[in-house]
Amino acid sequence: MIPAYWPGGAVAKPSRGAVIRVRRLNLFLKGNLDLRDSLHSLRLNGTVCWNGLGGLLRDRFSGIHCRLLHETWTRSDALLAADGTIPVELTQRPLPLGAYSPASQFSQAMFTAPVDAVILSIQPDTMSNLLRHRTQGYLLHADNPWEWPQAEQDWLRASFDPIPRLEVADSMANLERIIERRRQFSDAPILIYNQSPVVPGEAIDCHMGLENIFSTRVRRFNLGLIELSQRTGVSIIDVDSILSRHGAESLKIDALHLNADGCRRVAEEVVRVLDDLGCLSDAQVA
Amino acid sequence: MEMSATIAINIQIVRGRDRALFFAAVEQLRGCLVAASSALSQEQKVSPPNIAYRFFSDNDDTAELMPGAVILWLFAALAQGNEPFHTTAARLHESIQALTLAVNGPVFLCTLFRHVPPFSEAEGGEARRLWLRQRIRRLNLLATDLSYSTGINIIDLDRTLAHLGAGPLQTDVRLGGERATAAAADTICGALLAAGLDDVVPEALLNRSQKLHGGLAGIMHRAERGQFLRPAGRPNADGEEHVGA
Repeated sequence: MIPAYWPGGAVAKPSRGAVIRVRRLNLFLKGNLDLRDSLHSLRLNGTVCWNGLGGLLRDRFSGIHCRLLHETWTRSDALLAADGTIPVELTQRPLPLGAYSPASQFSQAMFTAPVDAVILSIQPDTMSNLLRHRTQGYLLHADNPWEWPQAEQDWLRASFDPIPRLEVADSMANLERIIERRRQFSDAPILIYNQSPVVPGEAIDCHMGLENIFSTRVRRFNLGLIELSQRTGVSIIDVDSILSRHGAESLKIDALHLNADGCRRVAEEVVRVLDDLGCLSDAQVA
Repeated sequence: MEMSATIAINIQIVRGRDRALFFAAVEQLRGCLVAASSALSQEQKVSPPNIAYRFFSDNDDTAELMPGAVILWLFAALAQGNEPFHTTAARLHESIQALTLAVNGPVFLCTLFRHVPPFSEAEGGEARRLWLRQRIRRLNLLATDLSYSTGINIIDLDRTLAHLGAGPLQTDVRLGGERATAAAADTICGALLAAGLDDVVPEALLNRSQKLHGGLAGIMHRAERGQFLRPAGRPNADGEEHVGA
């Protein structure tokens, strides 16, 4: 007899020689620390404080194995501009790009990964700065370039121009195109994290002359994301609401990063949404 | 001992029950000023100012407002839920501009706490909740836009309450509950001290009061310990005015 493993159901102990059905949930994460910390793991001072989605699913949904494919993301315009080919000079020049390797910056896996769901975040579009190559036109995110060796800094200055930060309308138009392209490949659900605009310690009373502060920018993007969801049917992981419900003071380390409890609450919301979308009952039988 | 002038505050009220919140805010302000005054050295000593406040509603003539500060709350805009958003935005912009001209004092606009409770199916269910959540976010962003187009001050109740959390405070956008009222009142008190009283409170007293209040960090500290600023008690009839809705 083959034991049944269903979400929330009892797990029958397999008899010797029985075939165990394990359902595999494949998720593709395109984003940065907000996704990685909450869904993969959170390490603080070398200690794993939160063990991510895998542990959560193991605890709550017997027999589901979660496989996360994570790529860092620089910005929506860079993803649309990339064609999967790394510019030759980047392959020849070992730049200290940190987590933003050329492979991830020019990857097309977002559009072709065979997964059960894709999870994105608006954080790259609210936060990241990009450079455009003066002659070849490709976009590059240089992580902490002031820490690069002087020769690489000089090359960066001589070869690239900074491009402006993304406005909400441009970001949402880009995300819509990304969603369309992804859906040409598969109908796997797409989830997008919004951001919490709560900045510990921020105390602004009058906003005159402060049109582009972080909290206001995030509020604009969160609203844009709601409208995008209404147009396209993507699901929002409402990090903003989760934090306001439980208290950002107790869940945030700083303006961007969550502590273990914050990560857990966000991961729980991801599980809830994946379950609502049928991903947990439809996961592939291995 | 130098005498202070009277602090005049006009407070827009949408629902009768909101009086408790703003009354608590005024009392926290009074308590803070009294405590700060007693902590001043003999040379700096000033008596804490009287606080005169009146409640008014949307229907009242702005010409009848006292010269002084005005506090508005976006709850009024939320209450008119069926109005198209662009109409709400235009109306608010117009009325706030008129107010800034009508009153000789700072205008404060309180944001809405973004947490929305679940609705029963009869009340509109999840669709209603999502609609309300979107409208709150749009209104809060509008508050920021209004601040940099008209120069009004924001009392960001949303920011304070989101720091503390709807769950721990047992509250939502309507700001029910004792702890939420205390935290919101503390936030209003802090905003008035930070930006509304320079013309009427002597500098030494104001500085001391601001330090005593401690801004957002002070609110968080008090909230953790359940020790919000103590009101000064029932208001003295002298210098008080209670009129309006």
